Amino acid sequence: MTPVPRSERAPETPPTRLRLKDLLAEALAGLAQRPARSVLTMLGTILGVGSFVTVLGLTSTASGQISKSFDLLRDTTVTINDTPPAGTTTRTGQLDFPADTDARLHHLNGVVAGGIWWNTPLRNPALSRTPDRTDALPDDGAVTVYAASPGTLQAMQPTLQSGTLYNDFHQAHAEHVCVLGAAAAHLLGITRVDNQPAVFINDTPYTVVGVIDDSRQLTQALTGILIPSSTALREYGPPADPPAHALIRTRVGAAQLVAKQAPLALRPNQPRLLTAVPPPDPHHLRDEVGTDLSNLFLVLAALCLAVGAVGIANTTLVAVMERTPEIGLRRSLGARPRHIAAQFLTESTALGLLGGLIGTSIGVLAVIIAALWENWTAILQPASVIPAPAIGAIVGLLAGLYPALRAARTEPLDALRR
Amino acid sequence: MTTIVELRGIGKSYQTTPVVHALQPVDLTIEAGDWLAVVGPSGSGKSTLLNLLGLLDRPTQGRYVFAGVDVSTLGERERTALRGRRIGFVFQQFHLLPHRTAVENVALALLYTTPSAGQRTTAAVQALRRVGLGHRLHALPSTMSGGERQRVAIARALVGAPDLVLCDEPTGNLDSANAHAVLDVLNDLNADGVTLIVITHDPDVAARARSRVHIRDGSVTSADPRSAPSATTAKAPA
Ligand SMILES: Nc1ncnc2c1ncn2[C@@H]1O[C@H](COP(=O)(O)OP(=O)(O)OP(=O)(O)O)[C@@H](O)[C@H]1O
Ligand SMILES: [Mg+2]
Repeated sequence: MTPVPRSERAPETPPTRLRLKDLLAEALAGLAQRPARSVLTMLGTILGVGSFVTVLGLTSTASGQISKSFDLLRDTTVTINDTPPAGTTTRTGQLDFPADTDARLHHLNGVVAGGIWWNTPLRNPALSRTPDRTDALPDDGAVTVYAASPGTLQAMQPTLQSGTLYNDFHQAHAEHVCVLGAAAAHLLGITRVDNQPAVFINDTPYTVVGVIDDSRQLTQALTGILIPSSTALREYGPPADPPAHALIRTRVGAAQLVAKQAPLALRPNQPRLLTAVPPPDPHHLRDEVGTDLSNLFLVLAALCLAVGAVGIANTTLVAVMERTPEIGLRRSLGARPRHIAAQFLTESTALGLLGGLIGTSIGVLAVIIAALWENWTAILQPASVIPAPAIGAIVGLLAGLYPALRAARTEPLDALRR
Repeated sequence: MTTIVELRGIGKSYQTTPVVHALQPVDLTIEAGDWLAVVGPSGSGKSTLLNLLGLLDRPTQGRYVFAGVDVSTLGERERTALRGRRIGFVFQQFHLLPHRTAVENVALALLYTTPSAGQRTTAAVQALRRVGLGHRLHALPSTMSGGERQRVAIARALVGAPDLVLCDEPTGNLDSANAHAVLDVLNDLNADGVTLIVITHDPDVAARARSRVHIRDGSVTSADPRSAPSATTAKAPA
């Protein structure tokens, strides 16, 4: 008798397997059979993910609001004071800006226009339309004479009512020209400039080249008379007190850099004589508003997630114990320990994912409602919204690890004896 | 005639204090198409024997050859494969999933062996018709009588066309009318060539079987005239 090959005597029995589709169907059926419990189990995850999305959404919405309301104008304005930074040397008492300030500023990257200005050291100047002072304005200081380089006029972003601004030519030749603020022009009775009217400052005539209606910066000049800084320097000397300033308009986003570079560009050997005042950094502003409150809420959200994880772990563990006979049955039907583990792990992960999805929806809704309420634009960062449901799924997966392991270790015999 | 089960000195003892010899070494041979009743009082070791036969438990001694394969040497993966594909179980407590219909409960038996859900359902419907439940396909267990539930469990045991169906007290929880219906089904199955091993207290159930072994205090004896007392061999009639 020849030995029968084993394969003929006993046909190989292929190992049992569980397809992914069937695994998902079994897990979902397990959840759908106990809907109330499933929802209660998800509550912690819903709260955790929901508050996570809400906090991040509200933070980004609020800071978006700040950057929107943040004055674009101030954002592009740098002021340089002729005062050394606090706590260093004392003021020199003279004009520390070079004569070619306008040109030096203009060469800086990111500068649109810039120049120096100061209050001329004239005390109660006689201001009139005629040389004989008969119609002189009362010396109540209502009208101030400002020294301002042409670059300053540009940086002011003025709206001309009539005429033009004086320019580099007038500055270079220290011409006796002036630009009037609308209020000053009104007081002096000047309505048109095409007839080349003159204003007498302490009997010195200045030709009025233009009248400005309005300006974005240096609005005090609207009640004053602006003359070229070179003319002012020659006629009335350097500024006394307050000292001179430079006004610089930069391109959007360049203000911080210009503020750093300008003192060096103006006084390469003694940049410390000047103090640059950049606009407040919008990033700082945003961070300050954001951190305090949102940190607190993020901690709360993390707590909710932890509670959610414990909730899912607990429910899954209870389910494993309740369903011990089912585990035994499945083992007798050919389920391997890994199939049992996969089923419970999928159930807990699905619970977490579902909780995460619901929580994300609630969070997004909360942010939108809050934004509508405050008349803000809701801003939701994709980076915080899209991974949010995945956080729920991860919570569910981690929470299911131990119960799934317990389920897989259940001996079919013990399970069926229940 | 092929041999499905061949036990050689199979025994099981629990290493408790004192040591419990749940099953004394036993020799047993079961041919394809047989219907063996295992009869004995409570605590005598009937379930222990059935669990060993169904690969739900490992013996502490002896050799077990199932359908030509020495299963004593197999790993858990291969044992699970044999259990899932070639052995059907019917339990006294039915073990039906409460939220699933009859068809779904029966189809569950093919979940780990048959990839196609359509095939699983088709086979489940056929199995239910075979046990006379063609009209209760979509009923939930809670709406069925005990006898109907046990017939669903029998359909689940046979849907995978196993070499062996093991029943632990299949009529233990049923009144006599329902018990009769279940026994009729078992009778039909055996007539169709399904190999059955049925554990029972009930002399009526034992009487229906082709052969019987008796078990007492873990020792298999035989009141069956066709079997030798020590090495019990149940043979199918020619
Ligand atoms: N895990 C175990 N540890 C210790 N002893 C056990 C264990 N399982 C079973 N036994 C013992 O083995 C013996 C046989 O048990 P078994 O369940 O096979 O009896 P049975 O004939 O099926 O009884 P019943 O008719 O009540 O179901 C009993 O005395 C039982 O107490
Ligand atoms: Mg028993």
